[in-house]
Amino acid sequence: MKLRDEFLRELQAIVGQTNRRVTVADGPRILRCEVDQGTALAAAVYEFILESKELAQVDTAILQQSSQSLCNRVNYLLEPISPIETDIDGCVVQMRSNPPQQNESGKYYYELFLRRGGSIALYRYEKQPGAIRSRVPVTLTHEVLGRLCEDFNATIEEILAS
Amino acid sequence: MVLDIERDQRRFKQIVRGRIRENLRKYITHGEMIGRRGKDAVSIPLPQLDIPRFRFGKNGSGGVGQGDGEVGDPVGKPGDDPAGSGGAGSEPGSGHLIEVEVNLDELAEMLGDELELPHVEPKGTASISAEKAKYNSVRQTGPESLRHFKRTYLNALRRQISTGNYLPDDPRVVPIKSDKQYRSWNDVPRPEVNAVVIYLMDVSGSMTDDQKQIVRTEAFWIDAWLGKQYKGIEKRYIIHDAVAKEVDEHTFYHTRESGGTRISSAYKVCAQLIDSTFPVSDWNIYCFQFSDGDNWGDDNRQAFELLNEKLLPAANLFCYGQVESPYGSGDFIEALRKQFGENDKLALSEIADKEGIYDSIKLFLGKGK
Amino acid sequence: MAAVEPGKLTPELAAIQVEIEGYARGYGLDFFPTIFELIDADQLNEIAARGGFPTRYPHWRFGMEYEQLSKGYHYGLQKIYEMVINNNPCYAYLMRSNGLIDQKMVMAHVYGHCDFFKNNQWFAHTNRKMMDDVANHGTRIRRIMDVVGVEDVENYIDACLSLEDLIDVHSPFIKRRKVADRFDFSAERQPPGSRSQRFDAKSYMQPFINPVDKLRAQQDRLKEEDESRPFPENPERDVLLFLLEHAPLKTWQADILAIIRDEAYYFAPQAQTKIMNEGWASYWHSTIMINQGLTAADVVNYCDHHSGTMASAPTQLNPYKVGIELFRNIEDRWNRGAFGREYDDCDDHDRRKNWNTHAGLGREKIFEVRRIHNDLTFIDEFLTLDFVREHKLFRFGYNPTSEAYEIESREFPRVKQQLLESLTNRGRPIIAVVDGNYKNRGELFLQHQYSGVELQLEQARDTLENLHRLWNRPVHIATVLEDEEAVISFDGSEHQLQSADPADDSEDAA
Repeated sequence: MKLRDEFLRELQAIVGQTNRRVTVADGPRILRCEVDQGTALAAAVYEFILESKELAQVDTAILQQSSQSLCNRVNYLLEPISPIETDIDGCVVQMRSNPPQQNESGKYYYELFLRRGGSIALYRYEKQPGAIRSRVPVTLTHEVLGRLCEDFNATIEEILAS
Repeated sequence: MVLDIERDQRRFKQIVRGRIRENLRKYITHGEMIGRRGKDAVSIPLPQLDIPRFRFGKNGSGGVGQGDGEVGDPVGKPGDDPAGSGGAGSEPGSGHLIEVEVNLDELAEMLGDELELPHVEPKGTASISAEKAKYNSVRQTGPESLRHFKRTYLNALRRQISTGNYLPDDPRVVPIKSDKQYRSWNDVPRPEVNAVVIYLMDVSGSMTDDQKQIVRTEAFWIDAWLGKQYKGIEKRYIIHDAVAKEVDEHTFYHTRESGGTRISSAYKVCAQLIDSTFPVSDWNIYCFQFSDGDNWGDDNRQAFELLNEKLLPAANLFCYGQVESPYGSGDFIEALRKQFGENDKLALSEIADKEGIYDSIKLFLGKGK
Repeated sequence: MAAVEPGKLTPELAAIQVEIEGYARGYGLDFFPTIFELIDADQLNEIAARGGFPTRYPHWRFGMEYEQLSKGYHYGLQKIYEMVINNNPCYAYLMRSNGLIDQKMVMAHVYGHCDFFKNNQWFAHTNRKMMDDVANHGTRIRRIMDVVGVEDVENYIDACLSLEDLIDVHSPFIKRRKVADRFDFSAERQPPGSRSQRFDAKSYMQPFINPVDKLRAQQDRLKEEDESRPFPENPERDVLLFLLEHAPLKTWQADILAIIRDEAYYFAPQAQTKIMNEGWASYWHSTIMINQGLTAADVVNYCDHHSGTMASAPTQLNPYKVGIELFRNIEDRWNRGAFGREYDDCDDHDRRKNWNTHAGLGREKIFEVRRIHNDLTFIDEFLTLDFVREHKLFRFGYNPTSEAYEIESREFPRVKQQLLESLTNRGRPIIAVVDGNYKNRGELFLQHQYSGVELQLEQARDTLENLHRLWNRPVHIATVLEDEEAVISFDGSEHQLQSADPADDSEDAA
């Protein structure tokens, strides 16, 4: 798959670097990834988005349906993900780790958005006791990032097919 | 008979009240009394007031009973002490609970004392003449300056006639102590001041039952307090996710929606409600809003506009409680703080968990508005 | 009894009283004059809440009792049938709303109690003018409250009540020691060292007759003797008396403690004879009602109500029922001559069952039993294997695994043993003062006479706190916890729990 292969190549190129933006494109589909730090096997990722104008006219009902199947696909992040809220006006589905992960130092969760317009995005949040929650980089292996790329892409295909 | 059992009952109740006061913080936080609410009173479970004694424990104790059953059969339910012969181990332990009825006003008073809440000063002219004493009744004791001349003599006359001491030929009426009547006053109920509490709650997907329980507990105490400050307070309920609607109390606490969070929707419904039903000139308006603060980004601007132009001008007090969800709090509260700074009518409180209810109530109601 | 305005009986009830009293006398019952008062359920609850004395001192727990009684009554859960006060004259209360049959039955029952109060030897030393004295107690405590303040006095009463079980129920019958008068300041009670062993002598002869070194040695010896003499000399089970005599109490505090103690002694025999007293009264109300008290139409009603009083809850031992059945059993056996060596030695079940010498001693025997026994000796002497079987008695105990009470045994010796244990000292732990000057530091040391059942630790601690309020110095109680000897202590601010290590003791003695 072209998008994934190019993306992984780019990741190799920024090994050892910090604070880089990786952008690759395949036709209308553009993958943007904000990398906090790259290593040979993994990358600490701050933001991971697949954008596509193909999602400009999608119906909310279809987004809801596809978000569910996206959640089913993305089962390798070690936290179950499920749709939490759907904004009908904005035509966005929000998905999160459900339940969030919790340890002594606080709570962590993934947040995914599927938007008309459109895009699929992944973020990581941390909430420490007594502090405001903040977006944090999450370290994912190149393999996992590749799979995310595939699955986001597959979700777009699914939406277009329906 | 010198049966002043009422005195003993009063003392008993006084002691019970003391216990409730001591544990009020726990009761405030735990919300267990909400389910036990009657019309004007709640019943509170309290450990039995027991006089401690040297007595036998359960361990190794037993008794003698009577009836059918095989060896090993249970006698009574776990925790139940079979009355047995009144002997070893059969004395009731200290684990027994008694139910104590407490009137809501009284509870509000305890809350006020505990949190050192200032009494509310209702706005509007109607409040100026509140609690005026009127001399419109008669009692048997009082200062001589208030003696009711006519009634006193009437009483004396009645007494003298009935005891045969009144001589029509020598019509002298001499009042004795028991004849005397004094003017007395009643506190005239304060003129009705209208007040409405409008609750707004986020019921979007990220608000779980735990958060709603916190809101419920907090609302219970707010009701109790404001209910004492204003007679016949009105309550209205608005729920929202991306859209908002007015609902009844039960629906308010039992609805879960999967929509996104648009706080402006609730503000809009609230503003309409005030416009249509509660004109600012006649009403003391209280708004209490609860959310996990995960407002969808672009909505803040619209929400602030409504708050600034419609709600804050109308309300005596606008309180926002941000209840932490499993995903932590959103940034709505921070955005409010940035936008409105120290607005006297706006109270902002972050409620991390049940323990946070106490301080939150104190913050909201401590404004004395 | 000026304070009690009698709720006078209706002429109809007054006539019934005369009638029932006549039957009672006819059977040989012997009682103080008995005054019935007709009152409402609510008043009855009020009086019951005060332990039968309308004029009792004010205290919050009576208010609590009252709330519970009146709630129970209004929800139809419980109803007080009768209340009799051991006094001369006897006072008894009838509930206004009861039907005539009930009133007859209650009256007959009351005469049984009155006879028991007057004739049972355990009541012999009770105060028969208690109505007056309780009123007097009430007045005294009210007056103290006026001066000291309600709250302080009630708190102090709470502390005293916490200890009210610590009396010696046998002391009215046994002289355990010389009566010590706490206002007796004679030489014997003077502090050690102040006793003089000088001989009178002219001053110039002093060094010879009373040599200084000898005198000092003698004084040292005396002092030592005083210190080694235990205090109290024998363990004192009347802990309240010990406190009255030795605790640093203010006058009003001593006064209240004395009142609590008086009332505790007054009520103690009722706890000691619950089974007998109720059994005896029930025996007589059923005897009188069946033989004289009923018209044919009444019988149905009566049976209904009698079974109401007598019904046993599935597993509860009803003192009324056990008592009456035992009295009937005794009467039957003594009528048949089924007692004595020959009968006891007989192993043949059928022969025992049909045993009859026509002795006809039943009535006489039960009157004797009601005179000399208390529950403990009553059960010990008359609870038989046959009775336990016939009445399905069992022993139950707490099973920590299932967290429930379970039937443990139906074997006669074990059932009887359990019943006797639960009746010993009215089912309360036996506790005595063993040292009033523990560690030579004026600390109070109590000893629980452990007999297999442990004290409830939390309650024991709270009770020690109350004891400390009276004693004002550290207080201790030695007992057994989790099968080990232990001492629970409270020093005014902290609780301590120590396993009694013998090494400690020897150190102290050294």
